[in-house]
Amino acid sequence: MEDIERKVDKVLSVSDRVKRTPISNELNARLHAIPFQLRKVEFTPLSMVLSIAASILFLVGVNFTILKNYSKVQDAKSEMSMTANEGYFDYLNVL
Amino acid sequence: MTDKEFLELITKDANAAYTYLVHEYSQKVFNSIINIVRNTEDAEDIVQEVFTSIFTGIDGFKGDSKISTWIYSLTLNKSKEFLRHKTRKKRFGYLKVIDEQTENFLVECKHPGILLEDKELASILFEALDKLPENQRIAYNLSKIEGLSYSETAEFMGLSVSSVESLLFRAKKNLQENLKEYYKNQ
Repeated sequence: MEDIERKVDKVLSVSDRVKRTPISNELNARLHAIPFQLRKVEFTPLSMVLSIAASILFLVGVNFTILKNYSKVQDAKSEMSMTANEGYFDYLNVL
Repeated sequence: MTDKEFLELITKDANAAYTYLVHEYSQKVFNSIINIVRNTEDAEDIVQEVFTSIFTGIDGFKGDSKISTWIYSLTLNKSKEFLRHKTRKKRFGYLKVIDEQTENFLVECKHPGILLEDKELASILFEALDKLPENQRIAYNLSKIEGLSYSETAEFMGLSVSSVESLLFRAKKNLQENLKEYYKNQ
């Protein structure tokens, strides 16, 4: 019985020897970064107008690029078909 | 900084108020949590959750309670939440150990403050501690392992000093009984 009590006391004495753990630099950085991660996006009338204008400009730009490329492709196509036709007529003439 | 000065700082610059809290409380919060959950990764995740709650709730802090009480209650709630989740996971684990990760979760104890020569005794102590009711376990961890005074433990747990004394008395008695039982069965 005495032996068990001695063992119990020995186990309980571990509580007094637990060392304090310093906080890691990584965790410290993570904690300081929280405000940046959770920063609220505030919509003012000006910011809304600006964001709509930016969206319109972007869409116009995209459409313009598509149209420009489309007309280039069309030009190239018609040029190719003309060349092909000329070749065909030359062939017929030879015949 | 007094609580009044802190409230003024919140109205002027909430981010600066938050930085002050990180500087002042992160170490205390971390030490309290690590002694409750005994695992660095889990403790770090809970600390991050606590400070996220602090940041999101800082605008609403009106000084009805002390800053420390507010922070400690958040810490305690998050730790309890984690322990309950862990207990649920353990119960499930006993029924059906699905993967290796779950299996390891049941036996691991990665408290970084335990000396190498105390590892074996510490695992016996922690096993006995885990059998205590939640409040007794937390009071013992904070007071006996982290070394907080009775009044600090009482503030942390939102209880009176006499309640903490009583919890600690019962915790120690139950621990001794659990440990005696453990050695008798060996």
